[in-house]
Amino acid sequence: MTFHAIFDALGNFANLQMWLVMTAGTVIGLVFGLVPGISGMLALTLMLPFLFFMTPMVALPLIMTVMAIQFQGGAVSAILLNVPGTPGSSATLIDGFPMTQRGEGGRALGAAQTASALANILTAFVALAVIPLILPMIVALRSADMVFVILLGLTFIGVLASGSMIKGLLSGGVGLLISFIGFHPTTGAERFIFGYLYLYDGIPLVPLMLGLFAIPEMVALAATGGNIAESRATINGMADVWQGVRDVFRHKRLVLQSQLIGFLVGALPGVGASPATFIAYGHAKQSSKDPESFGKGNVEGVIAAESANNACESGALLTTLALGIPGSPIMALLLGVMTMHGLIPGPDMLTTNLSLSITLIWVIAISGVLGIAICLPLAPRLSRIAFIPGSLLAPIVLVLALTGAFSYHNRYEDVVVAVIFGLVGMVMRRFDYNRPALLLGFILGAIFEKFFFIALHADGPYFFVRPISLGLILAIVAVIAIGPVKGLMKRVKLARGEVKA
Amino acid sequence: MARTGSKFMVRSALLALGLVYAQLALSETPEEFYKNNPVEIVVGFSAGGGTDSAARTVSVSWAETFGGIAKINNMPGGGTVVAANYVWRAKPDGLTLFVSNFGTTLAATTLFGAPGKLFDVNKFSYIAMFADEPPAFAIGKDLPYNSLEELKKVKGLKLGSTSAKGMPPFGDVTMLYLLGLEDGKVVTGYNSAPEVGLAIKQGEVHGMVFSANSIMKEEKKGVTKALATVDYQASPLLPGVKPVSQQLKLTPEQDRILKLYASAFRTGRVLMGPPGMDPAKVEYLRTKTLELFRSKGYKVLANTVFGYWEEPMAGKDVEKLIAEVQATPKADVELMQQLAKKFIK
Repeated sequence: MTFHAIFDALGNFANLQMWLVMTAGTVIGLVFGLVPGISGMLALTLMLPFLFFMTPMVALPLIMTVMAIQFQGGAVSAILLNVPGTPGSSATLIDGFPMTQRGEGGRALGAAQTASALANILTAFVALAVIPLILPMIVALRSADMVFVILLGLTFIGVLASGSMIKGLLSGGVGLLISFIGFHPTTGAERFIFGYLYLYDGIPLVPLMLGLFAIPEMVALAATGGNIAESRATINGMADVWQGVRDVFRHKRLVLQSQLIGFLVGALPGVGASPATFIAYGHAKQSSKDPESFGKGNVEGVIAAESANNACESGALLTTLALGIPGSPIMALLLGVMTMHGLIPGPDMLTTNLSLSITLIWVIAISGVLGIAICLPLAPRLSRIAFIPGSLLAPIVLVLALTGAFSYHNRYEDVVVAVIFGLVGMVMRRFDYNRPALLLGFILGAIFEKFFFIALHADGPYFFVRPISLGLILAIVAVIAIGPVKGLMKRVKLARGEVKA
Repeated sequence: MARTGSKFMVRSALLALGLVYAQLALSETPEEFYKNNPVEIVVGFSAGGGTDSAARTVSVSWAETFGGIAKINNMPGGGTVVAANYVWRAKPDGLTLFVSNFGTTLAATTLFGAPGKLFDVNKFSYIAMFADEPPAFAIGKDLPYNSLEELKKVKGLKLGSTSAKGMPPFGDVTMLYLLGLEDGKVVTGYNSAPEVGLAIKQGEVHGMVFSANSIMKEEKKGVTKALATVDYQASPLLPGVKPVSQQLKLTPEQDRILKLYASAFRTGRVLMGPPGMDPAKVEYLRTKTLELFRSKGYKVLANTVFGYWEEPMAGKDVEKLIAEVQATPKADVELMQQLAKKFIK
């Protein structure tokens, strides 16, 4: 039956309309992903009235293309401007932007685009292969286990810290505290709201992210003069980009591991792309032969983050279709459009409507190819952004970022939040505190709290006494211990004279 | 001198033009007004959800009935209070309308209060209520119980619900109370009905109370089996499922709680405008939206989106319903709050 559906789905690509839809979706996704804060979600919300009148075979592939491709656009602004175009691109900037500063923007873009496209293509095949396994896997993971999956993500705050570990943990802790603002997820108690309606739903992610990264970088650029790339940096056009492409193929194992992390975390209901990218990034740093260079412009960091955020979408698609639980706002919109067309998500989407589901998986794979076909030739020109004078670039990016913050929910308060976190980001930048760690703490804090209280209420204080939970606790201990154990082994080898200091 | 004269002439001409325009505007009938002006429909949820889809069914059918266009403005936040406050303060020119749930925005905020609420539900301009459906109760498909009577003997029944956000899940609370399950528990914090469905499949909780439409979807997935509507009436979406009032022998106190829940927490979507709208426009909107909801095209759309079509309720009847909800005895409201504290541990 699956084979029949695969060929049925392939047949849907034998008409021009499908290709036109995907090309349009690719361009829209790239443009909206590229502009800071204005993600594919805004594009699709604007298109929603038209999606209503389209047939499912046009509307759903269009949504999927925009969704799959937006990270490729998001990576561009993360790498070149230190401003994540989408929340899922947050981990890309940790190494992508230092590469741009060194004049390696083209290489970083080449690596990011290739990793993204490969993730879209390969995980589409993985998704096809694991369709029968995905539901049992999701059903096996209860809230109690999810607590430890998220906790595993939180342990990477320490790994993210490229300078002082204490400053990294403090930054992550502040992020966690900020995530507690708003209604308590289970009791409905108001926390740190001060009677202000805007804060009832907590601090919104997009304005926080834009403020934390875009404002400090652009203010610093305007204040110091010059441009993003260091004065001695040079660019070699397409040669730089090809070097990035080769980097991806040099790190095949990292690519596959990061894709697997992205796919599995993406399939978990209610987790989303951002945690997946940070977990993949943390894993890349821990397994690298050169972990010290992470955060200073190691291409492996870019490859891991971009492999994971794109791989996430295939996993999230299966969960959305099979369970009707959206992993992101775009997936919620996909569900809305399905409802408008009378399609009900559920196991039927993986049996009776399997052909449509597989078509959407193919769309992810093909949009990866379309995305790279557009982005790679543009990469050398885009990387020149790093050489634009700061006095010209900074005001443009600041206006775009603040417009992005406003367009999030059309509320001026979001702009105020962006400015406040811009100031926070400036202080953190000045005193070398870890901004990605704060973001990770903020993103995971709310998810952790949700699962923790559900587990506590549903299963009581001993909720962790489950085989999966205990296995995950062991994994957390291993993640924490791996650094000190590696250090100890190095010292032992040094003492024995097996390695040179 | 000549310059002053020409200035005077220009000003007089502009004034005359203004007066003519004002006269035209004043003499514009509601029919012409809605044909010539775009309408903004505010929704208190993000794009893609149930209420958003309901508002979009109105938006796509608007042009056919009114001639003009209606665009959706999603304004999530504060459990729809942000959007309700926005509409409350909007210019009452009839171009800003609001689609929200009767229970969430109107009844619950009136009876139990809502943080940050600026509006008075008695003063909105009500146009119509549509897509109303009774809530229903379902349990895991694999659980060995097939009736409410059997469930009354179960120990430690856990019902899953969405996040409290200032408003406890009164549906689950009502159901546990009607079943007389003293040690029952409501686990809150899930994001949606499908998430609770997954928790049921995982054995984390045993059942849920959601709109009949959501329950129907979980049934189609093979996750749950519906046992009752938490109401006095059945739902066309759940054939063969009787209302809880027909299945259990309720005490007068239990009956009062069911009545409170069934009237105050109905899922019907209300189309309304800000206070102080021109009565002629309100009347026109009331008449024409009923026409819209009863049109053949809308019925097809409703069947696709909601799985059913139901006769809409006129704005005047919505006003009466709100008055009825407000007349709920204080003792019943307090009892409901006590029950919420008891079951949400």
